[in-house]
Amino acid sequence: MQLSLLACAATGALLLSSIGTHASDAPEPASITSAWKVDAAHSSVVFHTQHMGIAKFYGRFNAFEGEIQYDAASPTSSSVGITIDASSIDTNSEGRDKHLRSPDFFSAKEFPEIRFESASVEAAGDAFTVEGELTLHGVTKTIAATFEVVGVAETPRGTKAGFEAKLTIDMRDFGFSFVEKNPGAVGPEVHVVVSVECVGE
Amino acid sequence: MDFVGIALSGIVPPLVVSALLLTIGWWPFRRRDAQAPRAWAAPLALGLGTLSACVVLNGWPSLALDVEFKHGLAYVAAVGAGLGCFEASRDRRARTTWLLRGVACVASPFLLLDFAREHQWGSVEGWLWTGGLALALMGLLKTWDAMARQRTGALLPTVWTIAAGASGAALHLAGSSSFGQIAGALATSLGVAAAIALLRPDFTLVRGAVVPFGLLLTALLFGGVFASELPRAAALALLAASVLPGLVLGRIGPARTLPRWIAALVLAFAPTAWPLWSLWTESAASPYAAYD
Repeated sequence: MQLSLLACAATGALLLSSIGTHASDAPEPASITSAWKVDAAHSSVVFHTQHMGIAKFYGRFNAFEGEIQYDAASPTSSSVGITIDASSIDTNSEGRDKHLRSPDFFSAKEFPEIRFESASVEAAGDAFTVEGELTLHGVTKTIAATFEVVGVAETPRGTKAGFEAKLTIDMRDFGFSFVEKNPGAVGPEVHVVVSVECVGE
Repeated sequence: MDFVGIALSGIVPPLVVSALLLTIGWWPFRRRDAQAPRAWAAPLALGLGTLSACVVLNGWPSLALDVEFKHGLAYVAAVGAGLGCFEASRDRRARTTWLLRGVACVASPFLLLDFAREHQWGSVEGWLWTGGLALALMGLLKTWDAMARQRTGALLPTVWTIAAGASGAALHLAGSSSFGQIAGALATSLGVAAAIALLRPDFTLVRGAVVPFGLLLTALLFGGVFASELPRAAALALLAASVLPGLVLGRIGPARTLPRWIAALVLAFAPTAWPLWSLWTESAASPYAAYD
């Protein structure tokens, strides 16, 4: 998810080159911006996992923010960070959300932030692979995500770019003991999609 | 492991550990005219009984000081058992005993609520909370000490079983089965103590058992309020269940006219009724229904 932000960073270069190619009067990428900020109003962090091995179950986080720094000349030196408010989890059931916020799962009062910081961005065909450290539930692990550029546009509010990142995590790697003690009830894998619209600063 | 398995893993280990320790400590001395039983049995039973459930349910905690709250409960159980044994072997008025109690009363909220000072409170507010909770814990320990001196036999462990069991139910209803299970483990150990006390009427919790019980119950309620979503008023009511019978019985006239057991049970259950009912009605849609 946060990875999509990384995507923002790396894709900044792509975006810029794209802009440069199709809009001759557009400013040079490096002069457009070097910093991007996630527009949360037009972005989503959604996830799905399997319930009792039966069906895919979807949820989302409603509060998050992110920032991206990119080097137009060298996308691989870009960086991305995103912070998600763990207590903003929303699965369309207040009772279940309360349980998910509790120490059985996210322990959101104890670990209020889910944070991703990129460490490297590499081209992978038409997409990118971002590696970085994800801190979730007080546990920090290195993870990788793939992302792609969805679109780029000049808008009255400036240059905007959209990215989508996908990653899969195993809740057992992040100390979710409920999942470990109750295998098959939920997860253990969670598939996350981060779709962000970034605004150039 | 299914939900029944999870529930049993919070009950069976403390049941076995507590029964073993209390039997070793008390059974050889069950006759009234026998010499004094081994005083370490009760504090060890409460502390290690609960610790066994912590380990089975959550695994061994790391050695880091900033462990997750639910793992910190294992340390509270271990410290409670150790300090309880120390108190059982010495005069509780000794300066060293009170010094150690003071350290434990400060360290418990200070270490367990480190996350709250970081994320929920300002610096001054954090110190006020930590200091206030430490003082309150010291006061509660003195109150429980007085209760333990006044009551022998199964009455007091039964009252505390009710308080711990109700706390477990309330924590579960407040959204955290993890804390609820540990409270259930504490209630199980206390229940075993009550059963032993039925066989040995001079059974007392006065020597050493107050500390592990007090540290664990308050730590669980700290967790319920600050790490989960247990209302503060509910936590206070649950604490009241553990002290009210001791404060009222024998001091208020009408209570003397009632059979001691009935009065004690009523006084223990009464404060738990409101928080349990309130939490039950609030959780009309069980947070666990999704996994049924």
